[in-house]
Amino acid sequence: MNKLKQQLSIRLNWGEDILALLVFISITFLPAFEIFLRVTGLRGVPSSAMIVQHLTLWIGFIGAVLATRHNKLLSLTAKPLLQKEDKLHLGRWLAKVISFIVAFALMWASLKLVRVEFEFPRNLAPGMPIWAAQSIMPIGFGLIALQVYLNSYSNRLLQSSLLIIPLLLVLLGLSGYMQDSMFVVVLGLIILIIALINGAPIFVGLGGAAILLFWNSYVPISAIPAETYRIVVSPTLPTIPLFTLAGYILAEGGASKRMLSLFRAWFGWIPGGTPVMVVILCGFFTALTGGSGVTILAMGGLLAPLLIQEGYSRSFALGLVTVSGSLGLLFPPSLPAIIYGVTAGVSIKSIFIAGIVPGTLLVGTIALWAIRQGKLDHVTKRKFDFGKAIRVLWQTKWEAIIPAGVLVGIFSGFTTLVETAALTTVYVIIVETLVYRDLRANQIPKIIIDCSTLIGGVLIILGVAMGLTSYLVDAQIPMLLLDWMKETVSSKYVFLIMLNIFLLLTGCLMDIFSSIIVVVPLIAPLGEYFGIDPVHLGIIFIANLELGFLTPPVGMNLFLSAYRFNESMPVIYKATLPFFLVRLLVVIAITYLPFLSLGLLN
Amino acid sequence: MKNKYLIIILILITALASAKKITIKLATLAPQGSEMHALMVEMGQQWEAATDGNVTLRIYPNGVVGDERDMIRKIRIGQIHAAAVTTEGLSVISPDVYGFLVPMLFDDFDDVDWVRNGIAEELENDFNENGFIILNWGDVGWAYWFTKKPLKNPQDLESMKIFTWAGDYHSDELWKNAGYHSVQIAYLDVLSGLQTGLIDAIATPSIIALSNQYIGSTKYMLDLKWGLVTGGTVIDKKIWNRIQPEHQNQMLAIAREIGVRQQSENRKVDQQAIAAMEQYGLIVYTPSDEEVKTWKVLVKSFYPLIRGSLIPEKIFDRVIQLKAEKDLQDTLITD
Repeated sequence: MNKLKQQLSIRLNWGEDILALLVFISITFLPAFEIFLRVTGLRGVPSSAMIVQHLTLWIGFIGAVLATRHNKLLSLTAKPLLQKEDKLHLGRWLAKVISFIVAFALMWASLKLVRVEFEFPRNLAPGMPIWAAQSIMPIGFGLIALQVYLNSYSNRLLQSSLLIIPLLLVLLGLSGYMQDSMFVVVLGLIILIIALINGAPIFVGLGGAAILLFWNSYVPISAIPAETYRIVVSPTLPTIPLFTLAGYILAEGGASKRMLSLFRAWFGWIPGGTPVMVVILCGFFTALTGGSGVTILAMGGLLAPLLIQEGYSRSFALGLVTVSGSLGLLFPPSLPAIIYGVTAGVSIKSIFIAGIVPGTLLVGTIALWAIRQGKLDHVTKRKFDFGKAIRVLWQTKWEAIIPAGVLVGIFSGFTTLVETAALTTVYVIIVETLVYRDLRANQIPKIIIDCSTLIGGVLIILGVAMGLTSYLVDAQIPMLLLDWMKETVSSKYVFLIMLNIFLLLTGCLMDIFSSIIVVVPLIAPLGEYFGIDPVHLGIIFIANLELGFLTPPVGMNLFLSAYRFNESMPVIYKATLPFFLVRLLVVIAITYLPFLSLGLLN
Repeated sequence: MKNKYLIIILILITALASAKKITIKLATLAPQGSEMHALMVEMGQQWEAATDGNVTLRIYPNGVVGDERDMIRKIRIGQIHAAAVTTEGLSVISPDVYGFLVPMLFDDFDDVDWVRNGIAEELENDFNENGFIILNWGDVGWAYWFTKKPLKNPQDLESMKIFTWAGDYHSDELWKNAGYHSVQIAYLDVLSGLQTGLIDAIATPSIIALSNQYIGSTKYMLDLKWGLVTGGTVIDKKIWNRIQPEHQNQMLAIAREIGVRQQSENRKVDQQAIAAMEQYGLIVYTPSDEEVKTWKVLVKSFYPLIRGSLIPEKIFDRVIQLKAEKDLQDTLITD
């Protein structure tokens, strides 16, 4: 019996790995292939972009299952939750029970979603019904719940206790007893927080809160997976797995060593030269990818070790990379800026022009702070050698042209952002395996599996967080907040202070795309009411939301960074705090000094 | 024991009270503060008055609930109950609404009204069977070609990259089969696509071109009614059936009246938007009769490709037939 179980579990693991590989290969090559077909004038794959978007959903959920299996789901504690224990620790028992319940409830909710889609079938591409693509959601959540159950306790009795509590809860939930009671909600949220403190994965906390709140307001909890589906298959999201994979391969292929020698040769003579390059590189990369945290995931593994090798403290390196991961959203072709323009009805070109000074100021101050730190840390300095600099540049040419290639890809109208990301990934694979030969082709699968694990852990949080956001929207909380502001605020400056705080909170709780889409149309009339230029308002928005990513305790980039560098959250808080304060000052300056933004326009 | 009964009675009373009061959640892409949104708010107020406060309307504007397909999905799972959408969303409920999408079918709004009246009942029945009630119909406007290079006849279009919706593989196939270059991209990428030249031709209502600032990249407009963008407000039958029949009738009448006002409003906005864009440098080209003919030839060549793939056969034939009847009537009147 046990042997059979073991065999089954090996098969299952093997299947998950193969699936992750296949999906990743398709998501990389499909867009790349599409460019090739377009250039040669051949017929493309029908609905290729939609297929790629749905592959992101698959990567996300397969990755999340892999992350559960490897105990790498992001949580607030360092000790992994999902391992067999034989002693009963009440807090950890609660964390396990809650994790199981939430994963199971989300499976049930997504199953209902798939059923509705199955009842009214539609194809996303010829022969590919949407329900089939969505079916990975209940399967994913189901496998997560299974992993939680199997890896809970070696003691049978304790293990089965995981099943009894949910059964009681389901009975209670179905009876509708106390369904609209605020007491149940508060109690539930407290239990969720206790579970989080004891190591429950973050997605469990977010998902649990969303389930509780939706249940309390008589909305079917399928609303959560419906929103997860919506955000994960959104058109630009495939850039996350693609750019992350490219970054991973670069990192594994020794690009960090080559880049380091390049930076040393060119900028090593400046005190703080490497951090300055890190800041500029990250800002540039973030502008390209839209600041959804891709920078930290993709570049973090490359840049942090580089800084540490240079002699900077680990804390400084982590802080700098984390903070730089949300710089640059004011520069073209930043997607948030474009989305702001579209939603607010403001010229996008004006936003980009207005963003030049504030954006440079943000990058500049962080760079200056880094230089100052460079002096404090007594980093080794060397002399500039022109001949060597040219030689190193020539050696690293294949990797050094990547940023330029990405820019050309986007601005030439040759490719879309997703296609650019796919092309970058294919290019990086070729360069690292065939040109530099640092990687053998048979090492690539392992890198892909590792990368899927990472992306899965992130996408599941993003997806479930959107479910919670969806509750806020459903309950019209942003609107209520706004009505209240309109009533209580009389001065422009009080409004701006509140806007600063509000946007920091929003940026901290939500991803930038949905916060722009939700909040901009509500704030824009208020801005007009208080006499703030709509273009300036756009710059305030983006600068504040960028900073929101770094706002403790739950800013998205802090999580991503903790995840990427395998650190606990408090370590990241401490590392980013000085940078956070420096940026806060600049953001305040941008908010209260309109000429910084509008000067170039007039 | 007494307490127990008291509690049961209390629960029953609250249950009855809550069963009577209904909050309808309606989602739309229309921006808050827009004319469309204002009309929906008014509809909600009138509903509330007509039902003695038993029905309230809660509007989710700006697409906060998602795009139109998401709205329909969320109605089906029961999160929201109604949506004011275009054919994009309506087609998820019944592909028959694609009947409105036959290119260059309508010469004016009279034609639109004629054809719509001809198929409205069938459509409403089909929606009913699929779990929805149509509260009203509304037009967003005529779709015109907005291009980066001058466009006068179909040959000009051959050298352009034409926008099609990501996921709308039928349209994409259609263009490719007809020998044109079409590019499928997502709605969010349209503007950057136009700016960078990934696409250089898009057929869209003037009001959309204005509000999304396509004008910065597409300087040329062809003054030819290429197609109609239409839509309507739908509500979930599950919640509709919980409303008392006499209230239903009143609400439907209010919705229809609002729909008519919205219709006339949007029909005015069409020309206003073009005029506004001309001030920003839009160059409008009015095709000659000869050129209109070449477009008609092109569109006719599409018919066999559209019928049965993009547009269901039955509704396609019905729409063509209705338009022919209208033309016949028009000639009879002028003769």
